[in-house]
Amino acid sequence: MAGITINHENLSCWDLAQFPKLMALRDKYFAAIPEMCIERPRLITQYHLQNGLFDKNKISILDKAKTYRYVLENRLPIVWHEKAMGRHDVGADRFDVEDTSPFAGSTTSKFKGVLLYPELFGLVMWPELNTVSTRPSNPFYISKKDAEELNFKIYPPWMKKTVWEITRYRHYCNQFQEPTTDDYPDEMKLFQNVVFFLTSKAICISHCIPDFSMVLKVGLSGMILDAKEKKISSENDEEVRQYEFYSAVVEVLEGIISYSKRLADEAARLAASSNDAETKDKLSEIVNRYRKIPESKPDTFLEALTAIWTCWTALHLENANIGLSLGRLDQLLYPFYEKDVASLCKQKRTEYDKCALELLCYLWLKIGDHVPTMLEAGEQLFGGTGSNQAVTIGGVDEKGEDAVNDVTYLILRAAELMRLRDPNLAARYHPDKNSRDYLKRLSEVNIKTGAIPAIHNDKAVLKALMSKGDSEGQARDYGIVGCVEPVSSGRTFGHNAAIILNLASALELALYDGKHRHTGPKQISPKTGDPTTFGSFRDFWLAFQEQTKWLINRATTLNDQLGKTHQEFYPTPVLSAFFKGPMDKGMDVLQGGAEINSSGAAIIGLADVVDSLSAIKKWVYDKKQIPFSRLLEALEADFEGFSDIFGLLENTNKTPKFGNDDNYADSIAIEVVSFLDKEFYARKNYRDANYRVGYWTMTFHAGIGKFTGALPNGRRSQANFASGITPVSNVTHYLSKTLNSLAKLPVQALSSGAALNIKYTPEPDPNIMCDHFAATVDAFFGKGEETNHGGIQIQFNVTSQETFLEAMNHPEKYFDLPVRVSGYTAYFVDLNRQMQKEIMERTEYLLSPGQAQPSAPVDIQI
Amino acid sequence: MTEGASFLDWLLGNTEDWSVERFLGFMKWAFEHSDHTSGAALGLKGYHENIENFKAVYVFETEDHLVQATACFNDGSMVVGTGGATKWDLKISFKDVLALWKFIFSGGNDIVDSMLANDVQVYGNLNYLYKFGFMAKDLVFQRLGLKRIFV
Amino acid sequence: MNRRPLVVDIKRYCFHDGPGIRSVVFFKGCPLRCIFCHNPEAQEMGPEMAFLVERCIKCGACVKECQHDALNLAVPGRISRDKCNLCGKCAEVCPTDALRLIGNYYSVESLFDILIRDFDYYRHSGGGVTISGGECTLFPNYLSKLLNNLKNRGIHIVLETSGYFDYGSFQSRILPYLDLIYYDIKLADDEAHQRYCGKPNTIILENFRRLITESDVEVHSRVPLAPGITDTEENLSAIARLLRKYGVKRVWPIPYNPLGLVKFQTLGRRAPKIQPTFMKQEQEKKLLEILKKNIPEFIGSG
Ligand code: SF4
Ligand code: SF4
Repeated sequence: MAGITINHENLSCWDLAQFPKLMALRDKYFAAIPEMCIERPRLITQYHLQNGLFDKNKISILDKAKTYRYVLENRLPIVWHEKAMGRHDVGADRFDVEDTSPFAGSTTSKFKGVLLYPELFGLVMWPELNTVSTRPSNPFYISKKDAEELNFKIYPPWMKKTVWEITRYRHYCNQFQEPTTDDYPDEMKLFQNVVFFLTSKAICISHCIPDFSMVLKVGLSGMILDAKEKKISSENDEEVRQYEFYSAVVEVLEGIISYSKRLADEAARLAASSNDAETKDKLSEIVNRYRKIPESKPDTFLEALTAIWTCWTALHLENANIGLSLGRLDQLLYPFYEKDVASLCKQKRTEYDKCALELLCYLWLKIGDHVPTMLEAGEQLFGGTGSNQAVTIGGVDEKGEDAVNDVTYLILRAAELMRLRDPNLAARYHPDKNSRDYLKRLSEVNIKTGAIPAIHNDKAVLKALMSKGDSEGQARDYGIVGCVEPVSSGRTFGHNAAIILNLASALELALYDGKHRHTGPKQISPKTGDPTTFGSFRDFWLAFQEQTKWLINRATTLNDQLGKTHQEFYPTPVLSAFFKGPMDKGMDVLQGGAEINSSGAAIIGLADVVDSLSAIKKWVYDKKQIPFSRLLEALEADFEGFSDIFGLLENTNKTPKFGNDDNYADSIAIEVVSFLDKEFYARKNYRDANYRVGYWTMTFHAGIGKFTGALPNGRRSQANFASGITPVSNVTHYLSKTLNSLAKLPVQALSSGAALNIKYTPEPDPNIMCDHFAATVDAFFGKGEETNHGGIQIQFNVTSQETFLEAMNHPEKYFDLPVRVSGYTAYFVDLNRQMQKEIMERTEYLLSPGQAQPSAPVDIQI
Repeated sequence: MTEGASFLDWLLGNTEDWSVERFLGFMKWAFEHSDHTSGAALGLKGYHENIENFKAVYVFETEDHLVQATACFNDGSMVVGTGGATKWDLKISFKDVLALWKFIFSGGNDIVDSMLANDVQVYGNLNYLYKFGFMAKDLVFQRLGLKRIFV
Repeated sequence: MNRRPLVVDIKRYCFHDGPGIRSVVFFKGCPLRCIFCHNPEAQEMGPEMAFLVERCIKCGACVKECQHDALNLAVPGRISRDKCNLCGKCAEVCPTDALRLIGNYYSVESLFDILIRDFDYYRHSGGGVTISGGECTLFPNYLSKLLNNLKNRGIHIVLETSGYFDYGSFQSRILPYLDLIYYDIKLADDEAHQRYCGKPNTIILENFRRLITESDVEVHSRVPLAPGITDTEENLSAIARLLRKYGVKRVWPIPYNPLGLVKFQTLGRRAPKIQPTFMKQEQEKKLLEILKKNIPEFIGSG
């Protein structure tokens, strides 16, 4: 355990005003709109064309590695960005950035770039190329010239070569024979219907945390040496495969070194042409640092940050920027920090800490330098997300002891000052091991920023992960991926977002005997019986289970087919070089090279489904007051003309609901999550490991809600579902009731994470609020108890209704107001109206009984 | 020229009754004349480049199969036909022609609406849809300069 | 008299009725009838029917259910109170809770079961349970058992009282379990107290004296501000004088809350004539000033 020696008072005094250049750059960052960058797709396409990769039946890992090397060796080495594009709708144009960041290199060639992956999902932007620059919500700038290059040169060769299309051709038609009829696989048609499930392998590779420990320990040169030593003979097939794997690793690592050297050269060129002494100094320092790092092992805090950053840009050349996450930066960086400050006197230490804070702030801006591809319709349905690169801090170390250190506090302060949606800060908190001070500091940052960070319960997460077979050591080193998904850092290649399953559609299929209102009279799934003929709730429950299993089978089938396409067409040498396992096995993570190989499903609509089951159980079967046929009529009419039924269904006092500390409904929730956990865990993925289940919904609960008719819990047609694992809004105003309900869920059923969104009314006294906050977290997380319960994660939005209203009316003033959506952080003003409304309508937990409250006491004695 | 100009007149005046065939016919004309003076006058220069080295078959049909049209692209040529095809890259099935145009020509909310209403169904290789979407929008908005196509 | 205690409401996760995070139980029944009462639902000891017209969707379910012909959709207040026997059947079927039966009985065990659910929240915040009303001391036997159960789990207990109770039974059955008492002192003048609160204040003041002088339990004296009644300079300074006599050092004024007036109507009772709006902030400030102004003067006279 590291003793905390940092001076908290200093830390809280330093703000952006002390770092004027940083502050100016942050302002530019918010003024800039994302620009589509064609550098990566251009170079990738060129390499594929020049080397005939489009004609191959399989792309080897070595081919892929050479492709990335080609990109790394040919992309522009940008030390400092010069220009960015302003928001068109307010008449802004290209402006100077005045970038003086200590970190050279960038994910794209733009100050804030949109990463395009034509192999995956990049072609969806095609129809929008002419209009995306001026679309009303979240415009991406692209020049006419670049748009033409995409249209004529870059996109066309990929038309039959995207992961989705290859999967379609390969697995369902004769290999490379074009499909001739429309009888292509059900799974894909179901996917295209949107309402049943989505699988994300067509748009990204994996949600995971790479392993930076090796580059920090031995540098890339050490890793290359290791790979070269391991690539021995090539006698049998297995050895040939391994030989190829290690060769591929060498290719990409050498590519990264070449990129950093070119950054150094570019910095040297800039230094030579600069007349300003300070600028020259800065640049020369960059030259020296980038000549050394990441090839050699880093020796200082700054060098360690540089190594991570440079490798991070390379990782994004391969892995789509959808939830790829950085892991436990405080743990990785602490040894460097500790060494740096060891011999410093008090005053020097203060200067050092201030400088370290500034560096982290700069890195934060860098990490946020790219956004994912988002088409306009997607923006309408699912918008507001960034790349969701999670950074994890705190928790326990490999021995299970308090791991909070000085860097933890530096990172917290950096996140507090920067208030960026990306990186998405996740704080681990072990209620029995971490200090109350740490928890109070987390609360304080949350209250000040309104939304950052989310807090994860170490006790619960460790139990959940170990219940799925992770060892204690693996579990203790978990980090958060994407939204809220816990995985062992650098060990779990566990595509947690592989499947997004809409549980409400299973309910729907059970209600309509295998049909769905959205897809009309077509029989979608097996008939499970007309519910009006069911004699008991159990009959309905069985039908619901059947339909759910059927959906799970369809979704996992598609996921595995896509996974196989990845294996043969999208090998991942970069990620494999930065992972625990592949270097020992000589095997790509995609082939099962990682230590842990799970996949994950996220469930949408949990609370609405549980409440619907509860309503059916109570009114149709227990009380026999509403016949099933009448319930169906009411749903058909979206409750118009059924105000009595609607009233009953909606009324928490009459219809038991999840989240109200009511065992009637909570026990249904327990059954549902246990059932889903059992079913998913029973299925093996294409890397021969199991599926894990999580409850976080990003904005899918709004997007998919739009396609779903009225439900038996009184949710009206097209309305949003409740988000994540959060109960439906307004089932209770008492937070402890909600949290008690959540805590009843078995934690092993939440092994892929859960997002609980709590909107908390700001209290007048932030100190007292902090205490309430901390106490609430401790109680929910089961401090001091032997617990098995589901208090696994909590995230607060602490922004008053008035502020949200203000922000809606004056988005320009609130451009950086962060909110929690479901798992990730978004800027409130970036969200579409439906999401904004949802956030405002979420239950605001009452913090007082609505009585006349005594004012502050008046002292009688002076 | 006359065909193009008269189509354009009709296009501008009657956006609500574009037929699929008619539109495809105009597209074909645009490809064929893009580098002639008649096409260049309409801003079509270079439009043909979109279909060089492009081979694809598109089928358009209404849900009731009453209206059918096909567009075959073959290395720079475009052939418009009525009736279906057994081998295609993309099939779009739509409730009515207005739904189809909404789906193709507008982004954002209108697409969401047509998805919600299940007005349009797409089968086959979606990348062909994206490319067609680009070509159609490019022609109508960028080159002919129409601001919007629905009243 | 039926002394089975009924509960008007149980609030959870409250921050304001004592330290930390708390649950608050409101018992039904009060010996006083303060005209500025903000919680008239808790005045009568027996059950009452409440009707909230704005929630009613006129579905008629209640009318079908009533065996006593006490309900009529055409009547704005819905219930003919003379016919209603408070069986509560209509409330059970009312989908929107427009009709509600106020006052539920919980056995000591079942009430304890509810209160214990938030145990962890009390424990980690230094909170606990607040017993309120109405006048909860009306049920010493019941309370004694409940509080004993709570105390056995080490739960911090606050009691809110009007001070109108029998000191003997209070002392033996309730007081031993309490950690903190919120004690309302409304009017210093006995006659005014009789007029506005329905009972003389002698018992209240005597109980207060005994509590302060005979027991170690911390007592917070609170003064509910009612416009023109308790908030006069005369009354406030008189209360201050009284408190000084017992060495009390602090007083908590409670801002005026007129929301009780609406509740009278929903209960089918006649609302007292009293200012129907919240105090304006300036007005409240002025009162606090009066109070403060009175205090040094009072200290000066001691
Ligand atoms: S049952 Fe309730 S909602 Fe229906 S008429 Fe009676 S009071 Fe109104
Ligand atoms: S409480 Fe009973 S008697 Fe009174 S109105 Fe309701 S149903 Fe009728």
